[in-house]
Amino acid sequence: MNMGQSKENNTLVLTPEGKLDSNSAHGFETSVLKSIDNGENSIIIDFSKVYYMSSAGLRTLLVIAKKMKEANGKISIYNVSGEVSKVIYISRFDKIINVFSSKSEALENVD
Amino acid sequence: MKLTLAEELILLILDDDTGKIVTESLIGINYALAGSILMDLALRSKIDTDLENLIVVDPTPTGVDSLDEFLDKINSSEETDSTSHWVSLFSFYGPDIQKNALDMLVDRGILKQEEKKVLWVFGTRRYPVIDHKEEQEVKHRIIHLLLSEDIPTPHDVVLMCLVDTCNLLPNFLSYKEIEHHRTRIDQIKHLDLIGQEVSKSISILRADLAALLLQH
Repeated sequence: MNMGQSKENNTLVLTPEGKLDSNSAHGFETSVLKSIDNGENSIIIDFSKVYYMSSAGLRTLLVIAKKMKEANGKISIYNVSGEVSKVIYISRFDKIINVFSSKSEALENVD
Repeated sequence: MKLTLAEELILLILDDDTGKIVTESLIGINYALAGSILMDLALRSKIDTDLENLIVVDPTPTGVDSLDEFLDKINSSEETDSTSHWVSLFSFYGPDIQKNALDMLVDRGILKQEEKKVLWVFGTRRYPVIDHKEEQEVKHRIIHLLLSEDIPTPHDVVLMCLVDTCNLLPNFLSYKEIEHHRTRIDQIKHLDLIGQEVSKSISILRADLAALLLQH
């Protein structure tokens, strides 16, 4: 999975592309956890280019959210749509990780 | 080697005093045991699921015979099927899964196997716990999960699914406490797609049984 990243003020903005499933979940998780270990305590993830998420992807989000909470940081996702949105809401992951409809809302939440 | 989910579940449904399976957990136990196999395979990254399908992503053995047997069954299937298909199919192997889990726990020295004669004729088998450490650790994790606001690990999510679907929470908490934490229990249970299918299967089973009882 390709992942773009940028910084806006003190917030790390991640832009993964493609599928978040058993093939990509481990790499994605490792990358985000490494960022948290390196001191990033404000992360937003743009899901506009993620078109599929499996249960492996959900577990990755759970692990990342847990780590960020333990680090007293904030993480949220935005621009979730289609099948990915369905998986997020059916599994009630919006209660675990904040889901926003735009980047500006996500940035407001983590600031 | 850490316990499989089936072993953890079996430890929780055994009566500590009699070493027998607690009968109130029996409805749906086969679905829960089937679910435990699938959940374990998913946690070990051998299978993956979405809202429609369950697929094998790594067919290489886990090293645990009781899991590899079922991984082979999925891998040998010519078609891609749903999670509910596999939960339903593997539920027929529930007694075997249960026996394997009991045998593994005996091998680990956590349970011992006793044969008893009832009325000097009927043989019964029971499995008294001889090392309570693992069981206590599992129970403490579940209680902590409910009473805290911590985000659960993927393993604890699936364990909670199994515990609640087998109606085991009254063994740890009062009914009042369970109702007080019902929102959190349901929130945790929904976090796993396989857990959702197991819950649905057991709900359907209970509804069918209730309808059957009403007819008679």
